[in-house]
Amino acid sequence: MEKKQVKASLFDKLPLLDKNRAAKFIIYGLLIAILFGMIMMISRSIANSALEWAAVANQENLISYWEGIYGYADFIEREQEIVRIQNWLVFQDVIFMNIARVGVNIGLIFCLVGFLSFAVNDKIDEHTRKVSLIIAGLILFMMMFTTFFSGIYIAVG
Amino acid sequence: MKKIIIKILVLISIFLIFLGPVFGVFLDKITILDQSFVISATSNTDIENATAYDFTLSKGQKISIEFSVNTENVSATLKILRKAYYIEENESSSLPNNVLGENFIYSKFTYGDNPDLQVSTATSRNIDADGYYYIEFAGNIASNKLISIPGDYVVFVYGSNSGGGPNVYFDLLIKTDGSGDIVETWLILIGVGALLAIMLLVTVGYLKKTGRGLL
Repeated sequence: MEKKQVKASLFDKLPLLDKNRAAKFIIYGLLIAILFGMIMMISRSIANSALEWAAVANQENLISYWEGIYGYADFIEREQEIVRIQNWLVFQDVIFMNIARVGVNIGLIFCLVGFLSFAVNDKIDEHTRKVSLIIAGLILFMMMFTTFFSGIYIAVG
Repeated sequence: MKKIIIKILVLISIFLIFLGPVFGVFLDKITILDQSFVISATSNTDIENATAYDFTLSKGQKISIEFSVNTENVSATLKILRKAYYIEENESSSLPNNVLGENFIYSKFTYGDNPDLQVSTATSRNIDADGYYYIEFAGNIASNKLISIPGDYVVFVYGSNSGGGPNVYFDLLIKTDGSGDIVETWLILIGVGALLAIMLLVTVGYLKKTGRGLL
């Protein structure tokens, strides 16, 4: 009787990836995490600078009015527009931070799978496997804490 | 895709992103009239000789009028009327002085002062010999803010010449709100969207060409 060969999916192979593929996972994971982390930082920086931007825009609006470039109705219209943009600059942080948080977590999952694959690979020396397991544990720990507790942060002073 | 086509598309996308704000500024206000007028000095008593420039306002739209006189002995008065009312008054040959204008606001530009204290409301503005007014109108006013009432209106100007001259001279510059904001937003959106699409297509093309999967 002919044996039916079942092709294993990527999910079945996890975390038993070969060395090269595991390294690829870590690199892609890092790239994704760095990219989304950068989006996070830019988004937070824009939100934090909204007030300063509004101060500059309001002063520009006043000067344009005083110089007679436009009248009072336009001045009021632009004043309201500045408030609207300022609110959006603050609110975009909520949207992009959540997208970036998902992105960073996806990146970290890639890294986690990569390190776990190193840890269970018996072709790699014992010391590297131990270190990989510790790193994978740390990544998992970090992911769980940043997902369930949003108040955790590292301050660099 | 050929490299040259990709480069051209990227350049066009970046060009659109930069073009957006430029169009935004240029289309923010559209000049509908910029003219020096010469009318009869009898326009003060004969409505037929007065200037009537008609315009239409849509919802949320306003116009700004820069009204100026720079001639000795000339006195000119500007009012904004509803078109139907103007036709009625014209048919009954009313005296321009008795015609009732709509409410508008006008600004003074005192450098360093609070703009809230520099705006006034009126139904007509008169200039004797030398003067300038920056008027804004959208249909009606509440306090010193504009209320939008769409419809057909007329800028009505009449005057007299105290020096005995036959004419009244004045300048009008009328601008209306343009579609600058919409054009600006669309151009930037198209530019950014095209850039993203090109990036995705190039990445997919590269992965296909090299035969590399993502993982």
